[in-house]
Amino acid sequence: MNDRLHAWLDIALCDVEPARRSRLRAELLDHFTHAQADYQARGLDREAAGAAALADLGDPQLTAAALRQAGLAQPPQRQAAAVTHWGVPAVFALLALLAVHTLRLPLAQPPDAEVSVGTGLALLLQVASLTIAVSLPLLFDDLDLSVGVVVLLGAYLVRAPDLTAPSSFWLAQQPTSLPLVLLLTALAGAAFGLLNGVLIVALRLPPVLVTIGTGVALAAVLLRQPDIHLLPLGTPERITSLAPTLLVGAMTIGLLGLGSGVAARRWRAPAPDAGPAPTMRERLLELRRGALLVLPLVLALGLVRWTWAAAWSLALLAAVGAVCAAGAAWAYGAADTSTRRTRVHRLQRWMLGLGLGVWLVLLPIGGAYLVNTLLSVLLLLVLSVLIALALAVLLRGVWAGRGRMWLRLTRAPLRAPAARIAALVLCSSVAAAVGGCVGAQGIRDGTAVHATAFYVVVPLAGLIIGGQHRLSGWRRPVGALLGALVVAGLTPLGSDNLDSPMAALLLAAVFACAWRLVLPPPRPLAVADARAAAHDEAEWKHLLHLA
Amino acid sequence: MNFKGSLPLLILHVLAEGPSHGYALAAAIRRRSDDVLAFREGTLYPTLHGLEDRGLVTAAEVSAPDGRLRRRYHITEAGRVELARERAAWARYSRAVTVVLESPAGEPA
Repeated sequence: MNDRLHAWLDIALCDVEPARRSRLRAELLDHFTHAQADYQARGLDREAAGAAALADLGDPQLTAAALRQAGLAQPPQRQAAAVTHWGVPAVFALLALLAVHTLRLPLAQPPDAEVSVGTGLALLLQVASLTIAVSLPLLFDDLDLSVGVVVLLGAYLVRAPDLTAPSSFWLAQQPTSLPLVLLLTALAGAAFGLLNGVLIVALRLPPVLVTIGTGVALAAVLLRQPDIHLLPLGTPERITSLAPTLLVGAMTIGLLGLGSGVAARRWRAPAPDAGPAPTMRERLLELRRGALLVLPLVLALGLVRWTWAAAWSLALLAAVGAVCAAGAAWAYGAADTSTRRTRVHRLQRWMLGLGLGVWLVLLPIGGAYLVNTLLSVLLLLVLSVLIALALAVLLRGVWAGRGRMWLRLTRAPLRAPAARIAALVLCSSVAAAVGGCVGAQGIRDGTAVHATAFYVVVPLAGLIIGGQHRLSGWRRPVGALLGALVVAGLTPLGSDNLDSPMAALLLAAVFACAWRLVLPPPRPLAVADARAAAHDEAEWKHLLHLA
Repeated sequence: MNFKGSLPLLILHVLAEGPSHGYALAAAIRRRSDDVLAFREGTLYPTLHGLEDRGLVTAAEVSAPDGRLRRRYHITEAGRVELARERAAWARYSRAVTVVLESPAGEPA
């Protein structure tokens, strides 16, 4: 009961400034205690009295809206602006740290296959910078799928000066010029981001298609460069099988689905009417939805790399996909909205558990696979436990309606054109700079770090993307797919085949376009205000009952 | 003005009879209207805090017997003036609604 009440309070008071929030909280708690006591005096047992008292409070979103209307709470737009102000310096701070770290390493250092504390730090900084960079355009509902290619661009530009003599690095002879080179790289990234921004904002083209297009165009240019394979971005010997990759991919999809599900619940769009029980045909349609979500990825990966080593991984992925699809069909097969929601939530919980569990196991194994020293394995183990704990806390928080400000802020997207362009510019610029740092480091200390990066980047980026994007309702699976695509765009960091993310992107883009043609339109939404309000209330009662 | 907009009026009216805290206010409004005006109680506090910010009510914090902090609301002079004005507005509004309802139906507008 207490949990439900606190979840209610968290939702209702989410936008209120702290001092007033604690006052309102105390008052509402007092109110609830009295109401519960009253109901108990009328003969209800404690639990039922609590439920009735909570129901009397109404939908927490209504209270939140009333607080905003009375000018007692900041509307989410202003919060979002505040967070953007906070996020931009954070990106630059991380980037500065990364650059300082990159500059600090002696250039003459021999290749180092072990993951030391220093390389671990660099790795963390890369991941943090990239994930924050990727999430910036998402504040505005703009997905940037070209990030991975821009990382590649950055790495390439840093190495470009040695084009004439591949055996000697110009940068290695002129170590002091690295800051300048990094700056120029970031500027090149910014120019690329500006192109994206102008196409998306000024010409009003869909961000997904624009960034896929520019990304593929850039990749086509880069991949034609004769020395591109010299980049320290792939480690074929170390990632000998696609298995871990695919496992991470499958898990990422799970986390994405989960994240988007949670997101859709928190920023819920008007829900469709429950209506009568779905017919068999509708259930089959849901099954097809689930299957279509997984199919393109399996196809893409299969087309790119069909080897015996990869075959069992594909089978595994297909199995995971089938389970997901069956689960979705089962969940949607329920007769009424509330049962359906219960099932969806149960499914999401299972996926959360599975995802976290697999990840917890996978990261140390992946680390041990890459490095041999006990210290490194321990370091990775500690790291993975910490990150997994952070994810669990984060998700638990979102789950209970206690998501932090930055996780909730996309409820009301900002539509300021300049800010959108700035976010895209910043994203590409950071990505290019990170790529530059990766490239510069690769000159010196081998590639083990970047293969490890893959294990960390993918789930983390997946989680953040899944949690932040704003698609909901029937578009939810598409949103998860798009999130997975962003992750696929990041894979040049760890992939041994630079073409594979591109192929996946292209295939999935075709798929995303076909989605609307294949599937029937969503059911009509309830339009009458009163009806929607009644529905909302019933839904909330149910959700609170679940919590 | 409608029922939702009349919540401040109802609150001020109850407070004009004596200071009260949130739950008692909600219970009073509910009881006196025979449960007809059973609003969502969660929206009561935003309204109360809004009235407080406008200086129409003041809140004194007292500690309840169980140790909880409780806010007791008093109406201010400005609140009484506002109450009179709101009451007149409501009378005008409800009279207008009554007049419309009592006019013969089916008349072209």
